[in-house]
Amino acid sequence: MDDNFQPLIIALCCNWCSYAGADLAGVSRSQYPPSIRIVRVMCSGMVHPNLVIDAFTKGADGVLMCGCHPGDCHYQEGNLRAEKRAEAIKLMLADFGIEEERFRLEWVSAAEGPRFAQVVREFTDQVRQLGVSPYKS
Amino acid sequence: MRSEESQAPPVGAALVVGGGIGGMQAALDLANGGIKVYLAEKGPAIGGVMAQLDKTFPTNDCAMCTMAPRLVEIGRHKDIDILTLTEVERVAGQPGNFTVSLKQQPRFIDATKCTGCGACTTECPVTMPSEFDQGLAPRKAIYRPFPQAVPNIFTISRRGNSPCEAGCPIHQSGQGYVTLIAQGRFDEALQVILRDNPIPSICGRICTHPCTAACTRNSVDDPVNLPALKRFITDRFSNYKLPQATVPDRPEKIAIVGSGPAGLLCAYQLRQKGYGTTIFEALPVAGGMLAAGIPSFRLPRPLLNAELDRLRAIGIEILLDAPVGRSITFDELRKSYAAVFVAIGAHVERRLGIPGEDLPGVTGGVEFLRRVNLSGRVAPGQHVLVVGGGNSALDAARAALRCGAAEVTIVYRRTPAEMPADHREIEDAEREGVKLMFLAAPKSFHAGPGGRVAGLECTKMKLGRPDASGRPAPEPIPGSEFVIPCDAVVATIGQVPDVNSLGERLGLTTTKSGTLRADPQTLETELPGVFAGGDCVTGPDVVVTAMLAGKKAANSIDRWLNGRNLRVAREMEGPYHTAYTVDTAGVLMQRQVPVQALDPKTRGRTFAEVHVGYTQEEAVAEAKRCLACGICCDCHLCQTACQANAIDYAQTQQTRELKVGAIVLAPGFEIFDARLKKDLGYGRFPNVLTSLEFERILSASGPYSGHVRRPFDQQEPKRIAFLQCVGSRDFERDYCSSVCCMYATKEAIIAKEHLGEGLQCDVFFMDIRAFGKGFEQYYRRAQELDVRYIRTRVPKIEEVPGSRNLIVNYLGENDRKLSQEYDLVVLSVGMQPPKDAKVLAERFGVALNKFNFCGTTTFQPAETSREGIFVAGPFAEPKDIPETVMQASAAAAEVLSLLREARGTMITPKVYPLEREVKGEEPRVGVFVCHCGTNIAGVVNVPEVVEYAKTLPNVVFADNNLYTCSNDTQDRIKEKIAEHNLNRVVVASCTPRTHEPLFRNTMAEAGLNPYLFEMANIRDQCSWVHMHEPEKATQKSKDLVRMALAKARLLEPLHRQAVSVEKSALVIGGGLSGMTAALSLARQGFDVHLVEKEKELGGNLRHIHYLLNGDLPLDELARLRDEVAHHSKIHLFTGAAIEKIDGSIGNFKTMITANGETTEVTHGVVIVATGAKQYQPKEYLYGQDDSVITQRDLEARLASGGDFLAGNGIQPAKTVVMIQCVGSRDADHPYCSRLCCAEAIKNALKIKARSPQTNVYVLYRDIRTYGFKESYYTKARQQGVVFVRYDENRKPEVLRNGQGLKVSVYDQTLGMPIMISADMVVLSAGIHPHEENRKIAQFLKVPLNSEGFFLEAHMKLRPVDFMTDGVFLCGLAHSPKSIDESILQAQAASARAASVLVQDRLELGANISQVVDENCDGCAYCVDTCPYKAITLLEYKWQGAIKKVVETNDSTCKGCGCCQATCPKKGVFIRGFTLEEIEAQIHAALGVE
Repeated sequence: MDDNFQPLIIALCCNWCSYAGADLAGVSRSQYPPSIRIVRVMCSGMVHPNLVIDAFTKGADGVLMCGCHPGDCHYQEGNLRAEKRAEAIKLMLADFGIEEERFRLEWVSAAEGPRFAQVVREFTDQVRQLGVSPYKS
Repeated sequence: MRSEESQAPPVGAALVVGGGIGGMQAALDLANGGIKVYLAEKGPAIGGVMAQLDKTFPTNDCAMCTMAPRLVEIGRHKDIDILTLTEVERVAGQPGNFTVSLKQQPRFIDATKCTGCGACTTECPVTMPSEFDQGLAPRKAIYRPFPQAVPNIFTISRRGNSPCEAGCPIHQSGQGYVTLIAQGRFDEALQVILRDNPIPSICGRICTHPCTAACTRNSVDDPVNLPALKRFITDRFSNYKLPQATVPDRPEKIAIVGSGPAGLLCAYQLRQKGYGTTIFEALPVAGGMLAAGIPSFRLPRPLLNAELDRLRAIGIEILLDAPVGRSITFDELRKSYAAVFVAIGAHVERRLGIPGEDLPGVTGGVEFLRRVNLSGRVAPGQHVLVVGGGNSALDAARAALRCGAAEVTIVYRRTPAEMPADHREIEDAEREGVKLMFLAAPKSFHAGPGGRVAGLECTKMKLGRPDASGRPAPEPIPGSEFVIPCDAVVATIGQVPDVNSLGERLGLTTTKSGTLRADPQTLETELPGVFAGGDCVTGPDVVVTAMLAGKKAANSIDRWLNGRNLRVAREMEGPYHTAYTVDTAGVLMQRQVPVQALDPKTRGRTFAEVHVGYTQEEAVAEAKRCLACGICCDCHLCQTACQANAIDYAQTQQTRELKVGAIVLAPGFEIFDARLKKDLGYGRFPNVLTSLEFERILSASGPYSGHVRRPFDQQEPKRIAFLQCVGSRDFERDYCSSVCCMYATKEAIIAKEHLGEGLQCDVFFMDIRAFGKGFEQYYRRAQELDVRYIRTRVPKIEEVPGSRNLIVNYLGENDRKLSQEYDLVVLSVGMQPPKDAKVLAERFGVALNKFNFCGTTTFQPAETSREGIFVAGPFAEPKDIPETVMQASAAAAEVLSLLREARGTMITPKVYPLEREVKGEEPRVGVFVCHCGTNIAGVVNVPEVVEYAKTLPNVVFADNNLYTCSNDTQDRIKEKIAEHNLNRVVVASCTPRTHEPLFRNTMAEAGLNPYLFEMANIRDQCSWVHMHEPEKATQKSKDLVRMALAKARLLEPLHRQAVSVEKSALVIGGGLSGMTAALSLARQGFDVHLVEKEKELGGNLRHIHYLLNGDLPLDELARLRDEVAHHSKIHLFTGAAIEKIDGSIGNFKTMITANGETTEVTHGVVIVATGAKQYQPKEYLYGQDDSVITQRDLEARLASGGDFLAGNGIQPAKTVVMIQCVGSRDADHPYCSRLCCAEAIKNALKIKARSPQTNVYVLYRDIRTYGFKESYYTKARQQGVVFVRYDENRKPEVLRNGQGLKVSVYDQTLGMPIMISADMVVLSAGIHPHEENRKIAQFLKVPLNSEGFFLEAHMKLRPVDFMTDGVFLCGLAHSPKSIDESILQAQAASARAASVLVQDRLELGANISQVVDENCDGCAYCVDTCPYKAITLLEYKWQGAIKKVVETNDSTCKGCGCCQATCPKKGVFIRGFTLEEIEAQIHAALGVE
């Protein structure tokens, strides 16, 4: 493993809980590696599986999808739809020759700033173990 | 309703008191209903107790997640003024026209400037317990209660100047530098010292320090040793420099006569204001008495010279050997200089005036000390007498010793207690060998053989009555004369100014005591432009008094030269006492850290400095003794940190008056002070917590970031006990706090979530009161998770020494004494009225009930005793969040009725310029990158990001701003939009969640579509989370800007669609709730279609004859029916059925069939009030035996005379047995019916009232008399009603046995079966939902819960709303509830409905779905996936073939995007979050185009 390898991870965060959780990580000054680029979506249920696959084939080392905890969804159950799609995404990843561990779905509430940072740290380590994306030219 | 006598039109504004969840709800409903709202909150931010909660029961939703959007909504609402730190003083006037006097405490922050960036908190040295975290975590003195606080601005906890600062004549901030020393921030401590004092190393040694006399620690042990601490700092930084003037130099030059402390301070202050200053000093050395009078063992000369050099370094000219009158005439001085300050001190010796004073060997103290100080050692003699008792006498005596005298004796005519000298100096002198002789007054000097003095004849004295100085006057004892042999005498009995050499010659007048005459406040003399101060005006005084004179003179001269008033606003000059007191209870004794000194045996012979000063460790230890009296220590570091210049220490308490039409009181509650239950150990045992403290511990934003630990040793608890009813249901508080059972259950469940199921959670309780919607199921879930419930009241807790674990002692079943050990005990503290309830009641003129809660009545449950003033939340009765929210909305409904004529008169219209068409234009993007003070710029290289942005495609302008959110920057953005013809804007700053609306508004004000805007969150996602990697944070910021730009280029203008609103309502159900809702809306002026399926109105209310509190609901029913029937706005359909409901918010269409006719009505909103029904029991012989009846039957019989009790012709009932939970809390009906316990007690009390000898048994599982109903439970027990508890698994049995009924039950309390012969068995039948609910639910596309009751949008915060907009809910259709609760919910529904109906057109969300017809093939995957059923499939024929396509309903779509993510063909997308836009961001992040 290359110790200097800083993975580039796309994070898709829902506006109501996990994006707010990322904000609270900032307010709480919880430090995490500068590996993620957050794309704000209104709901995790909005993320089309093709967006995730596209991110990988364009060279993302990892994709993190974050939504509200079950029961907390601002749109009743968009997060549960995302959960189902995550299963489908994992199956698709295999077809594209991408390790399943490069993708992760996490629930982060608006009150879980430090946890958001923890998730990013852990996932970054995990992706770092896997090395550079096979799609990176 | 408004009083007839009030003539003036009502005011279209309301005051809401209290910013908790209740006040917030009332404010929103009122503002959205067209009434201007003033929301007055006592604290610095709104949010109340709910903001402190972790999760909420029974859904375990995160409290802050659900609440934060509402906080933001209120913070931004154009018609809500949030008045924080505000209390109401007085209310005058009448309903419709109140005048309210408000008092607002200072925030010390300019709210218009503070951007909430938080840079100040890192600098603030003062930490204190955080109120928000219940004292479990610290906060700074400058703070924001919680990160999401609204308003998002900071507050300084500041009592005012600390006593030491106030007591110091020049107001040196003692607490400031002491606090900084305590933290090892020595550099900053020096800066604080230098702010007010240019000669601190001198003051640290010889100032008499009035600050220490004012120190609060005097009342505990010793004052903080401020002088030694000040000296520690100046010694540490011996090369410090004085601050340079920050203003440009001014042309005026000021002459200062005399270079003593007064002159130096004056010169310094004037220099800081930009004036040129020249000091004229008559002596060959500068410093006045500092140089000539004070010996070097107290003030080493290099230090004095260094201070003078520093003053010279900032441009102060000091001319030596320059006596005015000789080197320059006074007239020349006045001509050449703009003003003159005379500070010549008092250097002329006061004489004893006794024979022999001129003998050789007799010198004055001033002369002697000057000789020693200026020329070195001058021995006065071998046996020296020093006459006097002041500091100069001490200095002279100690100097004489150091000059080689064999023996030095101080002769003083009074006793040690009267000596004006500093006590420490006296001690030091004695240690060095100086002798003291008291009560001896010099009479004459005796000459020796050489004509030199050889003895001093004295008279012995005694103390007499106090003289003018307040000290006992010495009186001579006749004939007591004696002679003290000596060879030298130094007479140090005081000095006077050298007025002869200057004063009168200069045309300045003098006083009788030989001092110059000057105005005591302004220091003006009779000559214009000439000021005088210091010892020459006051007579000899201490150095800091002279410094004050210099400071005052500088102030006066500045005012005089600028033509300003010399007298106004000078009250706070000079020492004063603080107005506040500091509570020192509980402060631990800790003596002052002693200052090390040289050995007295040897030091008395050298001029080396006596005291060596503190070491760093000593200084820090001493500084830590400070009690932080003022809280804010006045260090001004926040002012340095705040680049927005928002800090304003000068703010004071403000008062203002408001005109409002109505008032809603929602001041909340107080938690019970658990220390009052001494045996439970709270406050003594560190591992006994209150439930609110434990709530903070559970919270991810709490003191341990959500890690459950006990405060004492930070260990994870393995066993937690929850003790219920602490401060509820006891002798003093005969009410139930209603929420504790459920919050304890929640805390136990969440604690187990955190620590694993192995965590032992035991709840000690009396009755589990899980009476709310979903509560019983929640309680069962807790039991499944192995939360143990132990039925007992715990009388006492003991602590285990060492481990500090806790032993809970209690009585188990069969009265066995048991005890268990726990790591943590959580006390479920009850709700109490606000501490100031009585004051509130008096100020608002409302009545309180016997428990000091705000009194209300059954049928007007949101009204106080004063017309026009309403109440919401726990101030009226302990209650949960949804009940609070409902009551708040109900109060709003009442206000909306009262002020209906004034609706819309005081709200602010918002007018934007015409929107510029940008279609077809190439994107022209402006990028604004924010410094956020140092929040971003401290880490991210902002200019670099700006330069990078300029290189990106379509960027035509990029720049940085100090604070992009500030008001002036909004103007700048608008300018730049116009100047560069921008059509897209990107702001790189903080989070769009809080700031996007602000910038979108700016876009609109600039004539651009607000949706052509995008943000890059480089603060929360870069500078704050990558603080130690500035380069990477900068790189990431560039990436985020690039991503935002990629999206911005694709953005299209979006428009919020508007639909017209049909201004009428459909109310389904004509029971109490339906009638109440209909009337409330009608009174607000809206048309209502009220549909009742039965022939008559009234529903269940028709069967209720009397209430627990004695009220008679049938009278109220008659009144309601009458008003409904006659109200012109209400269109009544009885015996009616709803056939169909179409449409959505604003425009519904409903088919109603009544009397064989079908009518179609159109309406903007729907209120569901379909009620519920009583369970028809199948058990306990009901229906088989006439003596087994329901409570409703019993009530009817009691109401019609109660013959069965009196025995009129029939056998009187001797024993009545009531059985609770029939059709409730069982497998088929797993919920509590909420009312039955109170109903049973109501009827039991009625029986006892009619026939005290009748035996009444109530067989129950838990008695759930929540709130004020508890006292009736108490009353029933007092009246002999027997309560027998049975277990769910051992239900009672009812048998017909010959003539009578037998009830057999296993009494859980006694632990044995009992058999009761009953004449009557009364079943408390539960409340069940109507089957017809299903049909209505389908019509309206709203959900039911598993029991068949309607399911609201959110169980806590939206209890009367549905997820489907425009549809509202109230009454039993929602869940079982009492009459007052039904009325509140019905009124609440009407307020919520009104917020729709007041609008002429309804704006829908802009970020909603849109179908791309050419891509959609009608596969309909999206139809099922839509959580709002907003998508329908259309089929139509086109060119001979059947085509399918979906259509979305703009008014029901919420924009979640589930459709977009499901569609395989890109046939539907969410505006503003299209696949292309998201993809562009991802590609930009990955660096691919």
